[in-house]
Amino acid sequence: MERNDSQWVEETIVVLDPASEWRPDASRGLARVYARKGGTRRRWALPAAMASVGGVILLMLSASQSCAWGACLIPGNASFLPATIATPHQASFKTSGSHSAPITIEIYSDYECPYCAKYFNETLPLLVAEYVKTGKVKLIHRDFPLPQHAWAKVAARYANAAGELGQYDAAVSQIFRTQDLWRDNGNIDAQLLQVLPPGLMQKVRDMVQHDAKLDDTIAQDVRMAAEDHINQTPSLVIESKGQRQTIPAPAFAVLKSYIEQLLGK
Amino acid sequence: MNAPSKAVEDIAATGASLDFETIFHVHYERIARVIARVVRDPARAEELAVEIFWKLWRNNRVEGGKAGGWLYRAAVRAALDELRRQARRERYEWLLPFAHRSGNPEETHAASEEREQVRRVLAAIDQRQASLLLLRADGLSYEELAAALELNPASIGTLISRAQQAFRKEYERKYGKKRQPMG
Repeated sequence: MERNDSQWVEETIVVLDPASEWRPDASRGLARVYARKGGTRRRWALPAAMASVGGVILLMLSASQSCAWGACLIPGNASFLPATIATPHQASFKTSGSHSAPITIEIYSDYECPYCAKYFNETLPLLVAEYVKTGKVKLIHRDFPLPQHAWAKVAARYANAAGELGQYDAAVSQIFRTQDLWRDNGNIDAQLLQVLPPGLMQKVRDMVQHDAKLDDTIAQDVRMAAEDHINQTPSLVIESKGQRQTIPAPAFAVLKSYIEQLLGK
Repeated sequence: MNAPSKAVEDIAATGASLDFETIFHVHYERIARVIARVVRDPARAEELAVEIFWKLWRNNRVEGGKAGGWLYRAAVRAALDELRRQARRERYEWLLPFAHRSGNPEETHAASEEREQVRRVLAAIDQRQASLLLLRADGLSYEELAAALELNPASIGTLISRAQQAFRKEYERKYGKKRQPMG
């Protein structure tokens, strides 16, 4: 007797089952999704990219305003790009690790972005312990305050002022750790007062109120973000052997796997 | 093994808002397998799976709880589109005497030929019917099928039955009746 259609189709289609020994590689897949998000850029492309930064920004600004999928995106607001920087200022306190490290990782963050706080509190300590302190990675913090976050730029000013006075790491750590406490009212000052001495805190306050150089530092980072096609936070720019790769900040396991690959292990 | 942990699957089942990586780990292996049923090359299946997750990443309107259905729908469509592209290429290759088909020794094997026949039939029938058969073969329940393909759950049984009839009719039109196993 002829089998019914259901049974016949099930028995026929079963030949398509993938080989049982084949296992899709999720780690590699996730790394490829992140790589797809970024893209490589050669060094010679830098001047050309700088010349077309306005166009790049317009493209970047097509993203949504929301924070979702572990990242905060740039809203549609072209005035986000800062005005020309009068005196570019390279803040050395934002760099940690060996200058001869084979890999440089720049992390773009926004102090009000909840995913940035999570990344700084949970992932960055692992990166620092395993790769920065061992001389394999040079780490550079870069500010990328998103316009939809009312206090992000103020927070960056506080962190950079503390940095100029030798307290950058303590300030960054406290700002991210207490994000939930100041996000609604912007009272970053009160949180920093918990970890910085009152005398030093007064100097920080004065700088935040009067030092225009702090804005230049932020503006310079934002312009570099445009160069690196950053459109969300937290994001990483990983440079090794003359290649720069922009990716949304991945989980430590994925980042570690990528670093090991770059180190040739 | 890349399969998600029971705990992660449980979280996904609640429909709670999940971050991208959790969704990736919950669904990646199964999505890649769904695609691999249809396209012959596992590496290509993984490429397509990555492409789909990349689209999910960009499409932040898909909420965590609905991501599973969206992924299956996108996966089966991408796989069938790829299958149709392959079928078109093969059609033109036959016109060129110097063009040869894949030299993979496995493809000369009868089982491989049968797989190719099934794929050609899937490429020929209606895409929704092919999607239903593929996802059903992957073990999706009627409810899951309805969610993934945005169909009325009450009509899934009928739609599957029609898809099976269409598949068998097309298969027998192309290759004749299959010999039934003895016993």
